Amino acid sequence: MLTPWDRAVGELVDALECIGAGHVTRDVEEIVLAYELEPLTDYLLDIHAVPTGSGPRKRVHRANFTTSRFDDPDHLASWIAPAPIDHRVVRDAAPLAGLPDRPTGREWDDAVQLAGLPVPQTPSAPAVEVWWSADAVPQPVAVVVECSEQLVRERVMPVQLSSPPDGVDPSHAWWAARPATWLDVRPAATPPDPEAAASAWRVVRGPGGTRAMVLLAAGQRGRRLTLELVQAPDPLAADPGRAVTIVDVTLTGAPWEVEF
Amino acid sequence: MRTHDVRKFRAVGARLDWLDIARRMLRAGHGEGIDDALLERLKERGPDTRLAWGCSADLGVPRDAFMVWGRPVRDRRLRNAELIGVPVDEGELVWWGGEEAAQVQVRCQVQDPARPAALFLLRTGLDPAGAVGTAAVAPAGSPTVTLTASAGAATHAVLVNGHALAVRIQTVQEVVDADDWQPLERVGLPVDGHELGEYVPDDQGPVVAPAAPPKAAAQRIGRAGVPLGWYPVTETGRAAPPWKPSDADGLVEETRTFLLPELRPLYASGTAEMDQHSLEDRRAVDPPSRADGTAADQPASARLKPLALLLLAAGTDPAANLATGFGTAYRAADLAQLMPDLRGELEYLVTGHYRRSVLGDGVEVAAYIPPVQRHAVVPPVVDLRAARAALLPPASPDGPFREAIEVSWRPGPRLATMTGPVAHAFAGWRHGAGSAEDLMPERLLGGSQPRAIPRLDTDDTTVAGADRPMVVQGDQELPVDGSVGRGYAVAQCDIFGVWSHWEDVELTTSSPGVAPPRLTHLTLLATYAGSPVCPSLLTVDLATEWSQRTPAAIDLRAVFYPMPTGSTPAPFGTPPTPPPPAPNLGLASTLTFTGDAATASAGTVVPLREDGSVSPGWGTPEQAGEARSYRLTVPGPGLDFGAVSRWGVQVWARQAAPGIAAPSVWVPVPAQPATAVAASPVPAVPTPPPLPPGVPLGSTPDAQGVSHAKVGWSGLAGPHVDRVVVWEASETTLRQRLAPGSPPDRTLPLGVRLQQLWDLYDAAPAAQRPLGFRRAAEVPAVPAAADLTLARGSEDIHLFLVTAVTTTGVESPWPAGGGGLPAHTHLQAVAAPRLRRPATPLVRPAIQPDGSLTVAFEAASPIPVTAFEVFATRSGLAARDHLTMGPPLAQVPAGAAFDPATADPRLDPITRQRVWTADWSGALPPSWEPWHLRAVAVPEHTVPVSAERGVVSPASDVVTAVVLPSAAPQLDALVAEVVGADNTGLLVRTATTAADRVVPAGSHTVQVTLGAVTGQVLPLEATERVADESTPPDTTAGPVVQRLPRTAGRTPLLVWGRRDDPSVPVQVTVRVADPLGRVAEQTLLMPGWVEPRPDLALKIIDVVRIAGRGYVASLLTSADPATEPPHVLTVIASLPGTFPPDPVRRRPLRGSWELPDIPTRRSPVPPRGAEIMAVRSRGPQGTEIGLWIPAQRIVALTAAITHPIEGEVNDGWRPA
Repeated sequence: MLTPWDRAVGELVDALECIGAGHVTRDVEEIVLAYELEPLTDYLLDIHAVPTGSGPRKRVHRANFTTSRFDDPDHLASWIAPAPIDHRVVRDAAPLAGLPDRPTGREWDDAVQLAGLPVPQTPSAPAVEVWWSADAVPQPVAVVVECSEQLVRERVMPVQLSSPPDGVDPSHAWWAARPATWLDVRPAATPPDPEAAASAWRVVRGPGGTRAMVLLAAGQRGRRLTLELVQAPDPLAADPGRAVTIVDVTLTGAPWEVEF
Repeated sequence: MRTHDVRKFRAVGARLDWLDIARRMLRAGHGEGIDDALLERLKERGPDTRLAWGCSADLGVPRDAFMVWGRPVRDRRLRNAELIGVPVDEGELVWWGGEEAAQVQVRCQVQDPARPAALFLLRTGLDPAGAVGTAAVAPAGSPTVTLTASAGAATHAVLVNGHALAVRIQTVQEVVDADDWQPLERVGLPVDGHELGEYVPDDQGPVVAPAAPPKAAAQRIGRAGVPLGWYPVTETGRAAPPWKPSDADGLVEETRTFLLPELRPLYASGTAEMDQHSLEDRRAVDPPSRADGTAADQPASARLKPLALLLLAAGTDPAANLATGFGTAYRAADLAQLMPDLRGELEYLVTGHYRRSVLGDGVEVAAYIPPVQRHAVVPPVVDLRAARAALLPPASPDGPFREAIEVSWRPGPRLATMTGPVAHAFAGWRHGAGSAEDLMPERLLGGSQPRAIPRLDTDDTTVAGADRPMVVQGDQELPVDGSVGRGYAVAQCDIFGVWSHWEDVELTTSSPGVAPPRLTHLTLLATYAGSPVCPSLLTVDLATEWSQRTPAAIDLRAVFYPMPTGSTPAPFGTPPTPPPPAPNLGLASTLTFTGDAATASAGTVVPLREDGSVSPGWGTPEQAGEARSYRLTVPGPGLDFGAVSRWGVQVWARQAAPGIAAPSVWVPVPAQPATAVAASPVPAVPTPPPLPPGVPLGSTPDAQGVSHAKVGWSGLAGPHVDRVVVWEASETTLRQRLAPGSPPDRTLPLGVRLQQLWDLYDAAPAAQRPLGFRRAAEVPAVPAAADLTLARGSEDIHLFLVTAVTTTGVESPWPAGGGGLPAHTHLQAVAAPRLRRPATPLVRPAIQPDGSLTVAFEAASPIPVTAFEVFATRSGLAARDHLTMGPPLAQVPAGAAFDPATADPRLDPITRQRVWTADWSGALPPSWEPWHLRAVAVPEHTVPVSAERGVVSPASDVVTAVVLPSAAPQLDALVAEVVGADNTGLLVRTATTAADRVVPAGSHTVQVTLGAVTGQVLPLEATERVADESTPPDTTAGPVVQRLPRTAGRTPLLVWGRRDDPSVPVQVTVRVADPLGRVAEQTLLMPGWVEPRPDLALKIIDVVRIAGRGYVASLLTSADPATEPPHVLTVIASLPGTFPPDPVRRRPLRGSWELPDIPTRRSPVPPRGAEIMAVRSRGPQGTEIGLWIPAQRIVALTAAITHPIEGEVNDGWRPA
């Protein structure tokens, strides 16, 4: 991965003349500010260019953000992982399967209602539900993770953009700050028991990012599903990202399966 | 004392036979004008002896006249010199030690007698062309010859076609020191008195007739003046300009008037000869000027060196050579007068007296001239070229251009002698002229004047071609249109005035073509007019040069081309023939100039100032520069942006000038096209969305408490749509903008309020409709939907509207319906849902007399209840939440309740909500555990008109019901098997519906009776629970019951037991009783154990025929001869029948024996008798039997063994 500086110079180097450059800084520097942020607080960050000598300082960048209730993904995962695992019966799984990856609120609500479940309410605490089919031998259909905090988050991230197809130079690309998924829920890339790992079909993220529905493939009864909270990598800051386990459930059977 | 240095002071002589020169001209065909009278005069004149000399700059010139000495040629006083011969490419180098020799004699051995041997005396190099003296002799058969040559000074020689045997020389010093030199003439500057300072003004001229210097000079010129000039005809046959001989007196006067005054510093008192070359005079002169009188506005000065002036005139002009005293000539009569006793040839010496020189003070510097040789030929110039040296613009617009032509040639080699070309003549003519004119100015006082050939030092030259001698004809007018041909001729002469013939060169030039205009600015504007085909407007700024030529017209061509991508190149290099090929579009316009003003055939043209602003008038003073600019604005064709997002235009221009037929070239050149691009102005208009019934709902609030709405669009999937802008307005905001003072009435249904909003929006002027909307989001056009959040806690209807932005940055106008649709069709209404939940239902179960269950449901609800769902489970844990009770047992449609008395809807007395009821009756599966029943009220999912979303009610309290089985538990039939190595063990399998757990009524029991032993009654849950049958219990004390995990509503049971004698049959009975004492029983009679026998087998192993006697067959059987009752072996051998006349089937041979009756032998080979016989023996695989069949031929053999218990087996054989 090239830094924007390296990429720009690489594209221009063939057309540039040689110059004496003995003091060129190429690193993308990451500065950690020793300032403790309060949770759930709105902040305004200003960056000023300060002259070496005297002279007025000039604001060069401003960003506003709101802190989370949690310090980092590990903290959030420690809040979700102990959540009780409830079980629900799904009378018709078809509406759930028809959901897009990012349904709107109404689509989510309608699908849940049509599936025979009550329309979802705002959870007051993290909850994990295993949704089972209404078969005589219930089959797991989905695992739904709900949280009072956003599980799926977007923020302004460095994204490499390309020129539109009809642009003057379609091959031109540049970095820009664009909203992108920063925190997401996904099945574990390396499950603890790969042979018994449940197979997920896809993950449906609810509006607002507080719900994630992991749709399971057929025949996953008895298998083990592990879900992770994934922080996306930041290529410019050389941050490889991270993944923290939030759900680890074995899909043994539904509670209403009582043998008499 | 005389000294000599040929590098400082040098002299040369030649015999000039002018009659011979004239004849050469005639033979060359260039003798036009040479008549017989001239030839006669030349004949009378006889040959001249012409002498010339020169000084180097560092030696300077003496302050007195030169003295010319002469003496007859006598025997040489040669002396032997050391000979060094070195073979070289040119021949053999003859070296005698480097002394400067005046006479050299070489005796040599001829190498090729058929060719002459030649000797070249040299001073520099080895090239014979630079020889200073030569001699040649034909061997005439002699093997050795002697060659003698003279020179002013020679240091070595090259011998050609010979090998030097000896060399003899006489040095120059010996010659100049000779005492037999006789003075002939004093030759010097034509001074009059002391006008040159210390220059000696004594008489000059022949010693026999001295005269004043001017007169002596005139006499010298008259004596030596050339009678012939240059060739009268040029190389290409044109008449050369007439040669004008100089007048002797005029030449002297010119010298005295213009040259001598410049020489005064040379002879000033105190100026040594060795310092003369450093004298310099700098003076102001007129600056360079042109024929039209204009001149450079910079001051000019000239730097003159007096010595250089004198030496240049004396060394390059044959006439000035005589006038300045650096040459003289003698005719035969003159020599006879000077040396009456002369016999034979003369050799000459020229001396000059120097007071202070680089060769010493007070020395007489001498130069030796060997006997003169005939001289008649001067080589012509070589590689003559003509080219334009400069082009001058016209003095006024549209006037003619002027040019300067330079004519140059290749310089000849530098020679050690003074006989090379030193001056040239330059003539020229226009195309078609028959004669050339002299392009050189004449002398100031008349006469043709050769001009010195510049001898540039090539070592100091860096410009290519600058080393070539060159002459320039300047300021020649060119025609305004068309070309002109010119010719030039150059001839050159030496210091003796002998000319070469002319060399000609021709050149055709013309004025520069019309300069094209310059395109300085180009814009293309496309305007949206309601369709993808957009009108265009092309604006071209151009500039044209006005100081040299004014334009008559300027043509413009434009080609409009579609651009699939932003980098699509211009399609044409030069303007195509109109119309351009599709899909390109063309445009043309011509600017016609009348004076300063211009008109356009298409579009409008306005004048521009130098800064690009529009000028109020044409021409000066606003357009006062050398160039004038104009702006042409012309409507272009309609550009179709339906398929592309950009159109480009490529423009060319050319110019015509008055009086010139050919216009300029088209500009710009293909490598630098003039293009402009117009991006699509066509907006992307979304399609109105279909209007749904009611008010669409947003989502239930998420964790942040906000509701999400989906905003969709269509018709924006084209490639030119870059992004979509979603606008949002709340009901309150929009009403404030469109109907101030009319807040929404929240008591009305949302559907009604939405209709009011639509009416307000449609009735508002188009310009006011966007008021109240805010730019909520900009999102990609694909996917065609976006998730937007509603304000937290908002109870308003929110309206969304979509516009689009194209890739060219054009935003679509505010959607306004169209097509007969009202404006509000573009609005998408969304409201946050109101969650409505029924109250907890009341459940009243009742068991009917027939055992069936009847349940009555009732719930009050703010939203219609569609059904009650009944959940039933026997797990108290699962019943804690109805959502964990599995699928509902039943879904009972609900109905609104009415007061039976008044028929009014029943209302909850507290909440005043309507009451919904339902009844359900059904049967629950029998169970020893109680059923847990719960019910929920299920409302309508959504009520769009009021934006309500129903939420399932809380579950009712748990109601338990017990439905006991109506009969004894079921017990499956028994299946038994013998186990154990001794076959005494028994395993009986069965299963029962009886629960293996304690139920509220007690326990189910099991009891087993095995033979005479009856086990105790055990609670079923007290039996051992095993996973499989792999752990048989100890049964010595009696039968033991195990149970497997319950599955499919049954408890599998295993009954283990034993009998002492396995062969004795035994009866097994299993009894299961429920807590109410109802018993189910199964009984099985287990037969005694019988050891299983092996299967009876018989196989015919082999049948061998003994020809003419019978067959021997081998049999193998599992039958044991000791078995009782015995096995019986039966053998049947079928014989073939007889043939015609009457076919008769013969009776087969047959034998039957009880197996014990067959005699035994060690080997089962039967005796061969007349009857069928059998023997037996015991083999490892059973009983082996040998058969003898006394028949010559059998067609089949069948053997069978029968036993009353084990049955019968048989085998057969047929011959192959």
